[in-house]
Amino acid sequence: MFDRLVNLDRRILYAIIFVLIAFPLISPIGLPISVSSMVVAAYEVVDSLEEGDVVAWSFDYTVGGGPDCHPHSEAVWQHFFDKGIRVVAVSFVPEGAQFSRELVMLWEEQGKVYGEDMIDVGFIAGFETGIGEFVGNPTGASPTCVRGTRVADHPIMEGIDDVDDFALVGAIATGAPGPFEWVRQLAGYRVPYLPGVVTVMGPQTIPYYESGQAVGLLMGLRDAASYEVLMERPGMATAAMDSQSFAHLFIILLVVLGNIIYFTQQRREADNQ
Amino acid sequence: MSTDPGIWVAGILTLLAYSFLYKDNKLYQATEHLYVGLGAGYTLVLGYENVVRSGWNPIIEGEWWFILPMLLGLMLFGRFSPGTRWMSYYPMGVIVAIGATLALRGAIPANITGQLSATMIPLNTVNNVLLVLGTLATLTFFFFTLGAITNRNSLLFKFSLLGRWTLMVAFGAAFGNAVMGRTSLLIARIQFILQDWLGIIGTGL
Amino acid sequence: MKTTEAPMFIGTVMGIILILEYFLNIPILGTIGSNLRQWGIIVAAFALMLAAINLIRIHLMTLSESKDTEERIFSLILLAGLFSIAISGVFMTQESPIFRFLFDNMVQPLGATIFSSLIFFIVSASFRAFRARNLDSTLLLVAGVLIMLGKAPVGEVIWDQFPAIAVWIEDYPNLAGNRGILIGTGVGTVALGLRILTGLDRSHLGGQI
Repeated sequence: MFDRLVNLDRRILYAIIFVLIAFPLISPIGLPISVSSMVVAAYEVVDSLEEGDVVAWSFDYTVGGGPDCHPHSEAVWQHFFDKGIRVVAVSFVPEGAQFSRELVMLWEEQGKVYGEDMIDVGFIAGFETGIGEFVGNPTGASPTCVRGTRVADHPIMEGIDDVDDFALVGAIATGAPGPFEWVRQLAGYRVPYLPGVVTVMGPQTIPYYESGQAVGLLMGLRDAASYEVLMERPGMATAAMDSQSFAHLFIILLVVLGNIIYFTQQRREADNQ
Repeated sequence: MSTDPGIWVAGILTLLAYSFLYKDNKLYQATEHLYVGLGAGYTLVLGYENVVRSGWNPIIEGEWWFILPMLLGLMLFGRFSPGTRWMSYYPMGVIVAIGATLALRGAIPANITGQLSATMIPLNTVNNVLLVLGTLATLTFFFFTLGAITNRNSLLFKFSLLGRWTLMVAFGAAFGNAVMGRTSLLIARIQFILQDWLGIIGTGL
Repeated sequence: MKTTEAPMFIGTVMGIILILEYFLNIPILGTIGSNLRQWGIIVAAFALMLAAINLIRIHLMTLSESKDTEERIFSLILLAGLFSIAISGVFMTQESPIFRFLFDNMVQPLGATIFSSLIFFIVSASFRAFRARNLDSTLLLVAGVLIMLGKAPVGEVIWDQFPAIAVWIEDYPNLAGNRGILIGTGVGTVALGLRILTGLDRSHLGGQI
């Protein structure tokens, strides 16, 4: 039995994790989801904005991190439009432009007017250089929007001379450019900054929240689910949490089992010597 | 079950990409090459769009000085030949210098003074003491060449050990979050397979 | 002209202008700085194209010179994908049905799938490789396990203190470690920036560090 465990085919483990994730999706359990203080802070910042305020939202995530990050954008944009806040979408990662396009089209179908309620400035190359130009010159960093019209000509951009004219800057990232680049470029400006990151980057971003350089922090699908809880609108992120629980328990079990096997093998080798 | 051909293409490609988990195979390698090609092509489109939007259109509208960065950009292609490689040094020098300067001037308030001032907290609780000591110890750990650190009997070396342990806990937190993040990516793919493709689960909650 | 001196000098001048722009509130410097950043955006956009064109060059060479049929087929598949999305995106715009089909049904699912494969390797490594061999690895594993239990909803069901423990780990030892890393990174960024601007580091120009 012990030897069979030691030599267990990894494909069996793959099949088990697949089943453990699929099962709660087919038959949800509904485990309660708690909300972290950083998500509450993010929610309260958005909730404190006033109707008509203009915010900038940066889609700095790739398709690889999309499932972990896009739920943030979906949940927070819902909050924005519930409160009548207007959104300027931008991205500094090529693939992010497709996520902004998707959300803009979704909200147009729901009656929001392009150019007045929202605008998609599109992808700006250069990573941190692009961010640096956008914060100093939002209408000039990308002269035309994704629909080919001049950014400065749209009503939503009226009065926007630099990033301090936004009520909030939100940026969701899977890597670079991400919170490190945004905090560097926003130094010297007063606009509140709300980062969202893929879960693995969360611990590295916490220092910015704790130092006050970020007004909240959204980390991965878990915090997107928490935001949905605060909005009282459960969505796909909430649906995924049961599967997350099962997967975590399984991986913890494997770590424990793997170490038991390791120490048992060590003891056997010591006994044989 | 979906009748959208696009969903079927996505579903089949998903399974082909996952086929690697069973065994490396030619279909997986072909799928990998397809993804690399599509990704590179997409980047080409976005790069072209930016060149036209930020460079070409201003020239057409009379801002002729944008010819200079456009020329610089074209000089990048000098990299392809050893005889013209020197041409690419100019645009490389420009973008690296601009990027490095923007990072440099922002790093001082963002990473240095911002974080240092956040570390200056009253040492009136155990947690605060741990936080300040942990931060100092981590910084001490990074002095790899300092003589007092390389001497294992020194107090500074022992203090830097606390930094190493603090970093191990931080990396453990990163590991836990990495597991969480990767799990959510798999959940999304399984949601796609079961919901969008096969229609086994609904969209309601 | 063909050495690294002139590009380095040009970069240094641009860097000095951007630094002065940051510290001095002079409108002309702001305008020049903005123009320089726009230059950076344009050159970076060309760099994006360069990467793809280099890939085309390499795989066209494989198609014409390689004797390995399998390698040539893979290169053909890569180029077919590249040209189809590039041509549709450039000549028919990103709203064209072909571009949308290729991105929404191929790029997005494949990207998400390939990145999601990492969890399987984490599963395998959890069983075979993550060993508490010494104090360092034990600290790492214990912290990781406590975070996983604290953040997944089931952790709170098992013991209601797990979330609080996870929060404590993130807010204290993790914060201390990452803050130290951030400060060190900041110092490193300043040092590297100064080395580039003073010409001590010319690795990006093909020169010596």
